[in-house]
Amino acid sequence: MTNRLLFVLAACSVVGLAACGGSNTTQSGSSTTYTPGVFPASSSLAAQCASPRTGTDPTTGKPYPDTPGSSTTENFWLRSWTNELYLWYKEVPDLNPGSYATADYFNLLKTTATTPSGNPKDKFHFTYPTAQWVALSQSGVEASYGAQFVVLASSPPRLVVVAYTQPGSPATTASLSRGAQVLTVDGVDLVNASDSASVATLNAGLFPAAAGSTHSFSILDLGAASGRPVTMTSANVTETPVQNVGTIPSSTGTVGYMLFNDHIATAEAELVSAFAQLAAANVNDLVLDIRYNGGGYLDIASEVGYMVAGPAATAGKTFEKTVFNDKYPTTDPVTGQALTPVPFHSTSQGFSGPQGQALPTLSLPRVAVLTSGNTCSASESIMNSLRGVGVQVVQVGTTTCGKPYGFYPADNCGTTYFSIQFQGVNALGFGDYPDGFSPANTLTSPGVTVPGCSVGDDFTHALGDPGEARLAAALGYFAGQPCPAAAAVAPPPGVGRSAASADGVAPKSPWRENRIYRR
Amino acid sequence: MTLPAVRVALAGALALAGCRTAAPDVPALVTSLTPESRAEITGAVSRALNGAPVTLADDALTREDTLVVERARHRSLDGTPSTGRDTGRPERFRLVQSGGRCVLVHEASGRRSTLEATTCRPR
Repeated sequence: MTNRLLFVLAACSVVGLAACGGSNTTQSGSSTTYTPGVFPASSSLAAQCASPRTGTDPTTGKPYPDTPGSSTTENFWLRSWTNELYLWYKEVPDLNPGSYATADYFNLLKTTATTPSGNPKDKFHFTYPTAQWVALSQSGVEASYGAQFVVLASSPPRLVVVAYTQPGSPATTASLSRGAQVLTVDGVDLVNASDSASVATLNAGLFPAAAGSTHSFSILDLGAASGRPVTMTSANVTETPVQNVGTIPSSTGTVGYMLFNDHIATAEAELVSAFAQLAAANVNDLVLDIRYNGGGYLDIASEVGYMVAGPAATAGKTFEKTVFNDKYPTTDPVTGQALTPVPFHSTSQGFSGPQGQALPTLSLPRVAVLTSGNTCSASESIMNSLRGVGVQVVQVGTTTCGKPYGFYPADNCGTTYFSIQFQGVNALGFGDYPDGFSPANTLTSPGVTVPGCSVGDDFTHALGDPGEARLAAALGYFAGQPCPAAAAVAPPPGVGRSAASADGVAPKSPWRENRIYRR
Repeated sequence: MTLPAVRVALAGALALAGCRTAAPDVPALVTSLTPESRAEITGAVSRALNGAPVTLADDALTREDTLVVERARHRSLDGTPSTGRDTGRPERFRLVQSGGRCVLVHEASGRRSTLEATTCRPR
């Protein structure tokens, strides 16, 4: 205790009077005064950088605006920018910018409140190096094998399985399919290895940073007694965001199914085709599988909502309204435009096809969505916005991620900051689901309760197979059957996992944070 | 030749010249995506977007004449997209054949980039 106090005192003497009780902080090239409660316009503080960039800004085509400054001037900008735009700016402590390193200071510029379940109210406060953030790609193209791995256990004994694959990818060439378990990567035991070098090998092999990276694996296919050797070379794989579209005959009529994995631009044309196919088949119900869909373009979510519900339920209705902090009740503070709700789009928006074409619709009074913790943001908007216009949403799976929020990422001095700035609410004005949506019978439900069944992911069946546990439960719900007991959930064979653990993280990142951990 | 006749002849000549310089755009596909042509297309897309780094598919513009470019997917540690509620729009490019040459057109700006190292055919 004594040592800790001495350290704090020493830190104050190093930072100086300005940081530990003084009010003036003078920087090279700029002079800024910290006055508690007084926030100069962030525009007057921008681009005063400890390490100014030179050259052309790829987002504007103009020279970088950076001028010499310091970490303190960068903190002053963060302080004012947060006070202007952060959704919960009144809950942010007003701290002296001269007292902190910039990364530490940003991390403090958020609410420390918790949700009713005890989770942090703000779970989405982060940065990216701007040079990474501005990178572009052809829609749906990522360097990968085309296999979506799900990490069911990230520390020993680890469990990594294939959730789905992309058509025409190295993964399908290697005959990988859902439920296949990864046993080794480049000779390293994925299940048990615990040293740092092995963990680095596992991450590098599972999540290649670029195309052209070759790695060897031992893969245990579903039903196989032992692993088989597989070698794959990563490529710039084009994702197929809508897959397995089909119909299922049932006692209640014809049920449509589609796997919708990503709200990327190319999804628009695929969704239009999928809904047209199901409309032609005169489906009575729909199961929308968004268990691996973390969101994307909100306008595409709106199109999905329309194609599910149809014109009668959605005409003139709000899909989602954006709400900023109380300084901006009518105007978007970033674009300067009047705040107008996103409607249910009845025509295509031109993401990946012609703009203005009438969308097909199923005009259904209810829809079942298959969910997990990877169901996030724009995917949750589909659920919330359909509920807002009276469509019954049946949720089968596990609790969604709880992200009714959005950002306008902002660059300053080479770092792009993400701080929650707006919340999406539906036609009823509801958008409070920071703990996600949970099926009604979830044992420890942290989220907003939705009719449906809590069911873990079932890797023993293909997605779209009526025998797959979540789809089977949805079909049963439509037929008036009770939800299955949790024990009915099927983890991969030979794996002694509980039902709850058969639901994992589906990392899709081309930006290679480690997904596998030592402990 | 009378003055009006000269004017008519001159107008006709200008019209013909105009027809020659405004060859129609025909939607096109890349016939063979070599490393050189891929680099050329990537460079044209990047220049149209102020020099941002761009990753294209290995079969870009070989099956469709439209190229849709958006921000690379950035995801958090749990695998979900960093933003997830995007209100923007992607950038769209079209490959056309114009006067026998392959031209990449940026729809938003109308900027045209002639691709010298790329061969294409009408779609």
